[in-house]
Amino acid sequence: IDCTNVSAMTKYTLYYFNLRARAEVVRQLFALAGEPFEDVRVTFEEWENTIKQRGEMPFDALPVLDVDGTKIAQSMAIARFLARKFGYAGKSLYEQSLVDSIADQYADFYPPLSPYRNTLLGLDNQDLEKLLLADLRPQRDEFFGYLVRFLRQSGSGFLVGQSVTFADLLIAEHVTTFKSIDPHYVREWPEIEQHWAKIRAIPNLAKWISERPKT
Amino acid sequence: STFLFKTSPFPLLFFSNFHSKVSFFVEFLTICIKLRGYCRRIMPEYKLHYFGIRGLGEVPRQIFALAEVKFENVAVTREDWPEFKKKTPFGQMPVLEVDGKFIPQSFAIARFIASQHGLAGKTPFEAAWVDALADQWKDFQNDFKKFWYLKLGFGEGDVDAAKVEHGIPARDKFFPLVVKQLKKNGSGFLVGDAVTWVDVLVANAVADLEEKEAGFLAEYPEVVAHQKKVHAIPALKKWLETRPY
Repeated sequence: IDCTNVSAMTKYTLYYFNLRARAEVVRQLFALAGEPFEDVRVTFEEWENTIKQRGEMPFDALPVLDVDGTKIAQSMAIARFLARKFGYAGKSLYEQSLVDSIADQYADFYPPLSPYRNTLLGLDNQDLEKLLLADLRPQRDEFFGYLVRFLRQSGSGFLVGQSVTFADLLIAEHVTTFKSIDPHYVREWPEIEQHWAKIRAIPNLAKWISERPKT
Repeated sequence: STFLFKTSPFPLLFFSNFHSKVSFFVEFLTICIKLRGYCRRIMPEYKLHYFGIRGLGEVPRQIFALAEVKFENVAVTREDWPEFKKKTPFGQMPVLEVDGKFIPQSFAIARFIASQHGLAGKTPFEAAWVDALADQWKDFQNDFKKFWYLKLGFGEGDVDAAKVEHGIPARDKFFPLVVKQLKKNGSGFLVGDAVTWVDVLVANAVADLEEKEAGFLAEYPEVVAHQKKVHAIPALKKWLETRPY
């Protein structure tokens, strides 16, 4: 690094809770790109009682990324902004649109899984077996079926194109979370398991995963 | 005319031997293929596949209209859908077909067309803010639809109760943010000094709300003014007057 030019380096500050959840893909993009950033993790109390009251966050929610004083809200908008900057958004407009569509499809897929996940984490009190058979498995299988088609079409081991994109990061992180709840989550989906292992093995990412706070 | 006859390839075709005829044919075919590729690059063929309703297809259609880009509006019938579904990337519509390839998800489609026609913000920051507002609208819609779908006659439940429990809180969480952004931005549009695809998205939702639940946004005059401004843009106004559904 040319230290005489430090003032020209962009200052990134990410505000979120001490969770992976919605901020993790953003943190992983910084890690992949080897870009330094300030990883601010606030408590729920600080958020409710102080930060939110100040009205600085554009949509009164987190995560928010501050880039040299300008704030951007919404995790996927932040992810796309950084991914385009660092080269993880897709290599052509068409590839970018496919990456965007996978991210949007994932956002549609995820909320219906909440009852299952919350019950397992003790935050909800529903019939696990019923949820598993009626909700989780069919929805997972439908979604993974489509993802496998993308994998077969690209042939690269990545979801879109020949290199990693933030769509890969989203899916791999989802598998990480659900594997920690259910070790057999991808047993019937070897291609998804392969994809998960491949993404996690990317050197910069592997390093981040081993060093990140355990949440 | 003799000059044209002598310098055109046709003498070669008619007066040459078989070998020359073949090479002329190959030359001609190569030129045709190159011309087709060139035409595809400068004028891609767009087909938007959706049901014959506004729904999730309307915003992509409006982006095409605003960008003044030709597209084929394919209305898939309920009978044809099961078969077509298998060809789509996620088993859903709308799906945009570009020169034989599919792009799913309405926001990805909107962004794809908007980016190519100056409707996605002028800088990376502006593009990010357009995306952020669109996602914020989607969060609003995910809550709001618990009331709205009942109102439109889908599903079972007490519409009035849903309005109080879901409709009004969702409205009062989202639209103040829209007003805040409009005031902060100051141009009359949501981001930057020109219309973007999120203006189209929000204006479409607002028009739909006002049409079916008049006065629902009475406390948000700036939002209604924004909708009128966006829908007064000539290309969009024309679409609204002539759209099929």
